Amino acid sequence: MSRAWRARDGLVVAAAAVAVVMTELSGSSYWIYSLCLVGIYAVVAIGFNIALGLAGQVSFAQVAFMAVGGYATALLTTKAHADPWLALLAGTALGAALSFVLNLPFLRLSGHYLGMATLALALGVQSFAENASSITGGALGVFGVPSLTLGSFSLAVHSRFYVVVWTACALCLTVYYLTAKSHLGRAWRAIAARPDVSASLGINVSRARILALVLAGTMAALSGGLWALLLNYVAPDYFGLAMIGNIFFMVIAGGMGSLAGPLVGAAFVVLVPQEMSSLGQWQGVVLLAMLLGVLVLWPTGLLGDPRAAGSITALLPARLRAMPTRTGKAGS
Amino acid sequence: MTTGSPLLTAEHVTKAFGGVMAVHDVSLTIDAMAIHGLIGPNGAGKSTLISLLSGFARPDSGEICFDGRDVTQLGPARLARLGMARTFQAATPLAGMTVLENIQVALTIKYRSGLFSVLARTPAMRREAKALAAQARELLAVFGLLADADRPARDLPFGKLRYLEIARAVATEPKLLMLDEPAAGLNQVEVDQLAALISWVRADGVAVLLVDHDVSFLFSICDRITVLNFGKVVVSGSAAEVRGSELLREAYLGPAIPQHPDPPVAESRRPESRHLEAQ
Repeated sequence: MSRAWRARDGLVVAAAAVAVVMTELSGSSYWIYSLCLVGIYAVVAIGFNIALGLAGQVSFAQVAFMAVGGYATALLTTKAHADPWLALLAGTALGAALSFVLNLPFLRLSGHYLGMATLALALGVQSFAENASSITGGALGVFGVPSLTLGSFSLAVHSRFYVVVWTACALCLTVYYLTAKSHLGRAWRAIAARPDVSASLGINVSRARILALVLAGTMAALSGGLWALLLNYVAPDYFGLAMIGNIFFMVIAGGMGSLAGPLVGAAFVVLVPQEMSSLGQWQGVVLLAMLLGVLVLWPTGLLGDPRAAGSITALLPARLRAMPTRTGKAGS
Repeated sequence: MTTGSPLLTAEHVTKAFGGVMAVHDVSLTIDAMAIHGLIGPNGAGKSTLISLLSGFARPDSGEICFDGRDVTQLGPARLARLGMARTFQAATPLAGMTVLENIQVALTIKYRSGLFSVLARTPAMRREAKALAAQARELLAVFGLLADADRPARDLPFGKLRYLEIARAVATEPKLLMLDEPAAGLNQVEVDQLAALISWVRADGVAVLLVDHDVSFLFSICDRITVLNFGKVVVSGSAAEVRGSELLREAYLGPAIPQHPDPPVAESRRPESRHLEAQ
């Protein structure tokens, strides 16, 4: 990692911190609510940046762990009348546990196969939420999720919940930063680049992969729980293909393996469509054109490694590559 | 000549791909602290044998013992932790990493700190990271790469890339280092430097299995040599014994009187690229 690159990341994070504080001080309810959403999106994106950006794991299942966190928080508060803080923690812990258990069978897979399997998991969880009406409220979702409180002090007001969201986001960024610059982060980047070489150096590739995926799943569940508490509601259609697209876009367009990338990606995904709502039916087209523009002009993402090769095709296959063996047999 | 105790023994190891016997009933003993050469024409099964020994492929039959234990069924990461290191035929700098980071990756197995020490930034974890970074730099100095420490590894010139690969394998502190055609594509000066480095590694107590095509290079440095052809051991012995053997000449040039019923077409079809693959 070059120093200039790291310095730029630091500048963007500092600028984001200033923007977050200024928004809170401005008292603008529109911007505070928007940045609440940005923070919640950023939490899942930071997690996925560990899995995809560092460890090269193309997992579509992040959205499933978001749903787990969201539904666990919603159901524990509404059905079991648990304290919302406790429900948020429990939902996050459940996301961590499930991301460990459900990713275990996927350790045998890599590349496209891992993508397909995790996509099936994601759509399966959404389908379960839609159809298990007696538990999840079916397509309508779960209403009446209470807001967080601190004693008698309600955090229902967005400007207060905002502090919770951005504290969570700062925590996740810290986890990303500390792991990325440690030997764990180096091992992740090594297995993303060459799983075979990493194994020859004694790195337990499966263990490194699962650690990255569990951190990503934990942050996804935290993000889902925060979302349920912000909207006081969860529904299955939040956790579908559109969210999968958002999660990938935030990490790839923001810059894979960059500290500040997910923040920029989250801001893009939340704010640009909002600001373009005046475009009416053209909004979707313009947004997609912008996404294409980013991917073509900055294939490594807005904050990606500036030295990385400069084409979309050069960006993905190197990280998606299945483990090559000297014997020419596919697999890991 | 070094006469150490056997470090690695392979017995009757066989591996077939489809109908091709890539490695056929090969038995091999590598002594501790010896430099053991493995030589043979393209498609002789040298790389497959290294894959089998290093756990990247499992033999169809046969047994491999390393450092007193049966390792036939162990994977590459376990073997690396037991003290077996290897390099690959094509250059394998880790994408997006500096030269120093490439070495640090190889030191991963030395870290005792886990996720929680990393997140808590415990003093022990920071001490450990500092000590191992220093160790990585020391190793770079030995291999003449210290000035390149912060360069992206893929930007290194070809010869230095080779040294980096060997340095990275040595960083795991192996008992046995397997080098797959380390001299391929190097000029004479670089080959001499390579030979000096390999001797230095051995002097440090490491056995070396050296695969190469360069006969004079191998004979100048190896204690023992095994000649492989058509997946079988043709001849094995001390460098002096093998050098005088007619069988070595035959493996490369064919028998003096052409009497092969079927020429080795299927064997030589196996790709064995010696080109540097850009990562």
